[in-house]
Amino acid sequence: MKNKKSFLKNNTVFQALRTNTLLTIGVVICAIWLFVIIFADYLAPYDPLLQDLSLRLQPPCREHLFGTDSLGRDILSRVLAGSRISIGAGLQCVIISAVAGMLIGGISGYIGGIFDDVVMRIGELFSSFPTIILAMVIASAMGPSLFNTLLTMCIVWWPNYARVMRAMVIQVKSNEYVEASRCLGASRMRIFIREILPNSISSVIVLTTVDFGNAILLFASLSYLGLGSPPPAPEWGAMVSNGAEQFYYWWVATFPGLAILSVSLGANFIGDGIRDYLDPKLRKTIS
Amino acid sequence: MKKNEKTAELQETADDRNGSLLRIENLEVEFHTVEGIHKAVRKVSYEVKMGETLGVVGESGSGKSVTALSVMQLIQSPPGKIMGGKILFEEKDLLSLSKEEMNHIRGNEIAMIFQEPMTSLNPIHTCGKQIMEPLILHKGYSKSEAYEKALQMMGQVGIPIPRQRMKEYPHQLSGGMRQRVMIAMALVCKPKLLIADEPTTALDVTIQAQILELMKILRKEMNSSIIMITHDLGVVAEMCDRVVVMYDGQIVEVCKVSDLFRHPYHPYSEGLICSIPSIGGTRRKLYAIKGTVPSPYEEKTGCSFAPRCQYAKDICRRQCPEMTDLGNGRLVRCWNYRETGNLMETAKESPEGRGKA
Repeated sequence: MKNKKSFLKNNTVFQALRTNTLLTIGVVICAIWLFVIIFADYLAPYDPLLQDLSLRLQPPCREHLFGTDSLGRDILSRVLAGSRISIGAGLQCVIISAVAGMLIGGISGYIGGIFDDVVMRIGELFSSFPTIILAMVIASAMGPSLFNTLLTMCIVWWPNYARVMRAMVIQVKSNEYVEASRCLGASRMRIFIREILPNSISSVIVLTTVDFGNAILLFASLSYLGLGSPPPAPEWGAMVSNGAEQFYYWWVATFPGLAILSVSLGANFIGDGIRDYLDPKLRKTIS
Repeated sequence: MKKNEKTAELQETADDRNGSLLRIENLEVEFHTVEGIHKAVRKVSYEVKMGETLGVVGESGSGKSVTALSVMQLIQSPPGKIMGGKILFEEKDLLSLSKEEMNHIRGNEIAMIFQEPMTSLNPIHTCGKQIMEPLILHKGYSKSEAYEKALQMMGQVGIPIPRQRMKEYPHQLSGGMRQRVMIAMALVCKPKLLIADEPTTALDVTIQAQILELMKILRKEMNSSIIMITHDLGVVAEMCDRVVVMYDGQIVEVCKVSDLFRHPYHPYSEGLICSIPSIGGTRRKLYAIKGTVPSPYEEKTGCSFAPRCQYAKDICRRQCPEMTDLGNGRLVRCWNYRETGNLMETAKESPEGRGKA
């Protein structure tokens, strides 16, 4: 078969990585965070839950690179350990809602008619609920848990994706190549999967990556109300809001904030890269 | 040399078998819109014989494309609806087939080429993949078999360096090349009937000539029938055996191409012929048919061309004429077909007449 060299040259993913610097940066950032998520226990210098009031609000120094918070916990350890909760929650929320929204919105736009109307009105119904109130309702009905909080976030979040996807599908399905494909005898299902989905997916992907940061913050505000991960757990959003109370101790809020920033930046770069990759007109090739 | 002999042979066999491939009988298509009911196709009947090229001409909105789309059953419904008639393809009524059966015929036995090569190809798939698609769909080819076949097809439609082009995306090709890819897609399954909906309208003149030439060659090689929908009478003269002239959803004249250019019987066809600019000869003001196409939503009494017709009499405004069979495959829908020809006479004063006719 092919040897490794020609595989690298012909592989379009590899080409995209080589030609698109931002995508590469995004992949590197996300790879680092993935590494952190897996090995957080070994990387953290201290126990993220260990309190030492004698060392409270220490500025960054050699022992505590990111300083300590108001209870004397090491912020570096908390940021590292928090990656699991925050990135995990953000990813789950965004991916589940994006997939659900994409399918629902895509099918709704493709079929059209009354079905479309009903589905979109239901979507508006969900998105018109204030997230926090809905989360509290679900929490009181089903008991507060991480799962229920994520469920709430997805319920509120999917209509955004459904709307974007529906608009794209309606635009794409009126294209002549869709009719040409029908002319070739492709079934409705095949046209949806082969012609319409790949042409309308890119804006949803970009929206997903932009939303990723928002999801982390929403999760943080829900945790703050005791609906997400309970307080002692290291969670970036909660750490930022904690730090906001101690305004003169800048490091308390800054480092978890930078963590959120870097993750969403990485996700954004990857999102843009994927969009460029999916559009052959933007795809650069090595000649 | 050898090729010429072969094509001549094929031509003969095509002439021998005069069986009909597609027969449309009394087709009626309506569009139910907010403004009212638009009768786009009114009792249209025509026939395509094996191996023949049938031209369908008429103004925009005359129902020529709608008829073709009905054959493929690609009318958007709603608002479009086929109200009656039959479409017999090899004696099967296409209107009575199930969706799956119809999907099997589309692209496999009847294929279509569109007007806009710029937008009719999917921008995110390579050209090769798009030519392979119908083979995988209909013929059950494996990927590598389909690849080889598509490669061969690309060569056949005159795309240079096909191996390279297979990997390229539609935006990397010129308009003419894209139309060739479209033709390759349509013909790769060797359909018995090809519907070409204004295949050259969006191309510039030199490319038009190349594409027409290509279609002629391919027709001979594959021995398939073509329905050529166009409003360019030059294309009709170049390509077609017989021609159907449509006006306002009805057929007004059916005849051989040479007859149409020699002596059109319907005043509308006559108007069309006279409005072709001629090369050489005395300069004269180009003829234009007066007025515009009637509103599709009006209920009409009488002949729908009567308001624009210089021969119109009382009977034309009262009663719609039936098709008159003039023998030798000529049909015309006009009360006054015996009197037409005045325009042609005045036009003939210029010595060279009309170019290609």
